[in-house]
Amino acid sequence: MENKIKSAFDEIKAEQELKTATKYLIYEHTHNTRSEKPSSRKMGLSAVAACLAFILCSSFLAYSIPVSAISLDSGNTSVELGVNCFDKVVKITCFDNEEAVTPLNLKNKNYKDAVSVLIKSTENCNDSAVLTVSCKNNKRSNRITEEIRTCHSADTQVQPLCGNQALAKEAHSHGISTGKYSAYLTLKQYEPSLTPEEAAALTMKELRERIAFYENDSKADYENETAVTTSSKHHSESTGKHHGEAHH
Amino acid sequence: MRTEEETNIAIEKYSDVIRRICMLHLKNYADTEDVFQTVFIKYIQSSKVFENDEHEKAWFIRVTINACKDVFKSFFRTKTESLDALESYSNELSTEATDILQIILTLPEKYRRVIYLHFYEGYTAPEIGRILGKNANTVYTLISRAKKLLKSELAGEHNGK
Repeated sequence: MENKIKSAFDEIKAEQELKTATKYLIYEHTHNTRSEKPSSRKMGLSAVAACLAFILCSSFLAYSIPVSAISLDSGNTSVELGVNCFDKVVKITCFDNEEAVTPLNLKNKNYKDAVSVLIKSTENCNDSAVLTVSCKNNKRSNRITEEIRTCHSADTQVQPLCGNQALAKEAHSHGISTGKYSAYLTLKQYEPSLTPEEAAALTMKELRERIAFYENDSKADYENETAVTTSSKHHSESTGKHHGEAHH
Repeated sequence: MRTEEETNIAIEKYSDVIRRICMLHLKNYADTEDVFQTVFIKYIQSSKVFENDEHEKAWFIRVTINACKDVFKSFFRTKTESLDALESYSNELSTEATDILQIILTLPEKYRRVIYLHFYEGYTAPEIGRILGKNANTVYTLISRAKKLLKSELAGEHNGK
């Protein structure tokens, strides 16, 4: 029986065409497929690499894009700090006194530290610093304003400018900081002929003094007017009384 | 990874072994071609170092049996009708060989495998156990039952004639 089985199986041989087809497939596999078809492991690695690259790029973008701006005007120093979502200074735009700001190395510092350094550097100019915080997000703008207020003396004026990106753009197009441009717009109400270029030549102190002058003036006018109205009222009332008494 | 040259040598050396295993499991020439391709692509991609020719041959037998099992597992294969295993074999066979092979092919798959490995390749029960991943005692049982079945089938055929 064993011999019969052996001789039967002996007759089974692989067909020549089967061998040739397999050899051809191996040839194709070694010459073409190996280079064309990447292995699943390689594909997995490239997918991981792509994910890492995406994460790195998005982190870099998130870090480098400023989401809020803090402008500081004091004496002849006028500078605007671009702050990213991690509260780091990523952009510095000097509108005036660049030579004093550049050596301070404010880039990549926390905005609170950067503002402190800036305020310290302008202490000698006998002019209190005016800080303007502009940001799309109201909450963020108020938070930054509050944090700066708590860190610095009452002399330092901090004003939030929420959601006014157009104002910041306009200010930059005229080559002045957002804070200064905002002061210019206030002054323009009283001096309609004032140009942004003229405002740029003035210091923040001068701008504020002029505004204060007009505001005090109008306040005095208002007070006078109110006083006049009140006195005339009193006068008419008292006259009326007198007239009534006379009738009686 | 192996070279094309090494693989071509292996094709010449082990094609007959693989063809016989395919004949025992598959009833379709296209499936045989697929198994050939699968086995030799696995070989070229493998970096396994074989101790000797016997070790390499055992590897080929094990991989071929697994590839044949995979063909049966595939959804498409379960939904298609197959031709007769010997019909798909294109070379001429003697009447005696056809008769005995047809008897072997009527037996359940588990017996066909041990008949080939024990009676033709000359493997012992423990060796077959290692190749098929089965207990040696189970293989002993399979061999003795296969022998019995074959004898009775052969006797039946002889009486019929």
